[in-house]
Amino acid sequence: MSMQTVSRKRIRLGATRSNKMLLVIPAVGLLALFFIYPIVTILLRSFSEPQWGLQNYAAFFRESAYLGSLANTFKIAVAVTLITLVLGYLVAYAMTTVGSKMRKFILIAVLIPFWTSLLVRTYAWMVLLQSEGIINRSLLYLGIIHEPLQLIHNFTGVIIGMVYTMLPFMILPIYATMASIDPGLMRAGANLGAPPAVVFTRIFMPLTLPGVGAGSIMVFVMTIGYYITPALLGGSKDTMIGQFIAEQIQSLLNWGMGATAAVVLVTTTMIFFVFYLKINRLERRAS
Amino acid sequence: MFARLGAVSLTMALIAGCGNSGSSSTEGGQPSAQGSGGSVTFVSWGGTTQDAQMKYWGKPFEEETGIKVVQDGPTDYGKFKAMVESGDVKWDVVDVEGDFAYQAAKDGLLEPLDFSVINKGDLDPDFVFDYGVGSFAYSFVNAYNTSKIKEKPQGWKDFFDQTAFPGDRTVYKWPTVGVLEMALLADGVEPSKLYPLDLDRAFRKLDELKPSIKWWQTGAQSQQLMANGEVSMGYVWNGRMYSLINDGAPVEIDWTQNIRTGDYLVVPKGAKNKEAAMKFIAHAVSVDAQAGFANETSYEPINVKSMGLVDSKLFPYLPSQHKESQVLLDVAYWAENKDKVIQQWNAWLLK
Repeated sequence: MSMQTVSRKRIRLGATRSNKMLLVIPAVGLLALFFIYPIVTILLRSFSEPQWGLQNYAAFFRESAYLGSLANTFKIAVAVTLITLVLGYLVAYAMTTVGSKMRKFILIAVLIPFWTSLLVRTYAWMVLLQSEGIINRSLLYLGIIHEPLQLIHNFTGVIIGMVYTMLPFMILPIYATMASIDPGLMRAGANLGAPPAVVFTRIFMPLTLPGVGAGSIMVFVMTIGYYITPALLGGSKDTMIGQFIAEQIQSLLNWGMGATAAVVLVTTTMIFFVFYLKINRLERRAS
Repeated sequence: MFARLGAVSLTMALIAGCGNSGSSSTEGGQPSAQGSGGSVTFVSWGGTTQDAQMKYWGKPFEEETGIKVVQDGPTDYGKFKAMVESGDVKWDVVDVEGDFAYQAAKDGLLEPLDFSVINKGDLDPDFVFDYGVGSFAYSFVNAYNTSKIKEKPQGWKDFFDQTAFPGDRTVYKWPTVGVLEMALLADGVEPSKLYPLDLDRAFRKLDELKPSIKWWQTGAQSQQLMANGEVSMGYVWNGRMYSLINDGAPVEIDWTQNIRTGDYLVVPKGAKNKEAAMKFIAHAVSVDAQAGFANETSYEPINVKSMGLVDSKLFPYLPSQHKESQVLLDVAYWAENKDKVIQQWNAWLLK
């Protein structure tokens, strides 16, 4: 008992700024060893294989296939982020308004797909979306369409598959933020005469922005690195840069080129991220 | 508050879980010198192929020699190279594709095979070189869905003829496995004059078909597209179609100009159990081992004497029974030219 009190006191007393920094050392050490070191190795390889120089970067920016797939990657990531944001926001909002039983049900529904392997789920989408698939057959049977829709082996297929995969990563952070908003704030707004639409747009929505930001960044960054789903559901034009990196590393053993593509991808992503932080800060300052 | 914590921790769990689901896990343990005979680590593609390899090659080998066979996999060329470069080679015998075997030999990643241990006399000479021997043979064939196509196609020319044979096509989304050869054959190039490939001509020919190609990248995907008539014809592996036909799918094979190739068994440079590796390979390509594996998988034995032990029911589905117009994939050409062609291929795909 007394020991505990003493040690607690010590921690509180000793919690000066510099000492606190010591607490992050194990985590930083782990990161340095297992994240920073490999990243630096990759960076070096992009300059050193097969010989020292910028030849890999020159080749990368000369090759239309790389630039095209890089552009594809960001196009897909932006589209997926925007669509999951709209859909995810609605689901998260619904979760905060329904009863606790229903909320649990939705939460489980959101999480259940994760109990099955990604490949199996992607194959399931193939069965659903193909021109002889359940969706097309039902629509044809009901007379809604007269020719099968092309839902797979094109950009549509990629977007459907990716939005489905990423949706939980958008819903959960937004829901977490929404659930922590004090309902009293909205009641106060209403009491002061604000109509429901104004309460929603001026009070509720701004308070959910941290969740929106976290979810969007997570979905965007994860989508950038994906390639299995686009490879299986997309057409030849929807190749993402991740697939080229894997090709260079695993099939061609061309590690210098693979590393170069990886470095370009990470750098471009970082630029987007910094840009996002800047905007975020400006917005905060403005409000 | 609780709801929030719950959601946050769930998010974390999801992130952790997602990382796992993306990457393939390595099965099997580390090689350990167990028993008096030592051990050999065998690496293949997993699934039914590796199961059959263990059943007909691994287990009898263990019983015969007392050398324990440790399994690992799936084959990963990036890992292969990393092991050889770091000197910490955990694999002894690896099942690889033909062009990789030749490329790895060129790059100095392989041990030369010991043909005083491995008897190459009975092996199909198409699948023997200093650094590797065939593990099993297969062909890329023109398969067609009989509910979509009534008349039997005759060769790759018909694969490109969408008036006589309507419907979409599926093609392997990787150039080194005969896709360009197939296009050139369709364009009328003599099989003997295929190599070196006329790349521009091949891509021009493929342009004709490109809008109707639904690419496959895994065997399961090719089966799925073929079985339910999503495509009417496909450039596919013969073994995958054999299992579809067995399952009663309306699929048949046109063997005209089938493009034959094979997997190889190789030993990474610096393998810890080199001697055991040679013995394992010698056993794997022996008459009984090759025949047993063929009967189970419908992949073809590369030991010519094994055919006597192969179930005659399988014969119509084996590449060696369709030699007349057969073309052998030149894996040595691909080992040389892979990098260059893939640049052009990728650019063509995105066009």
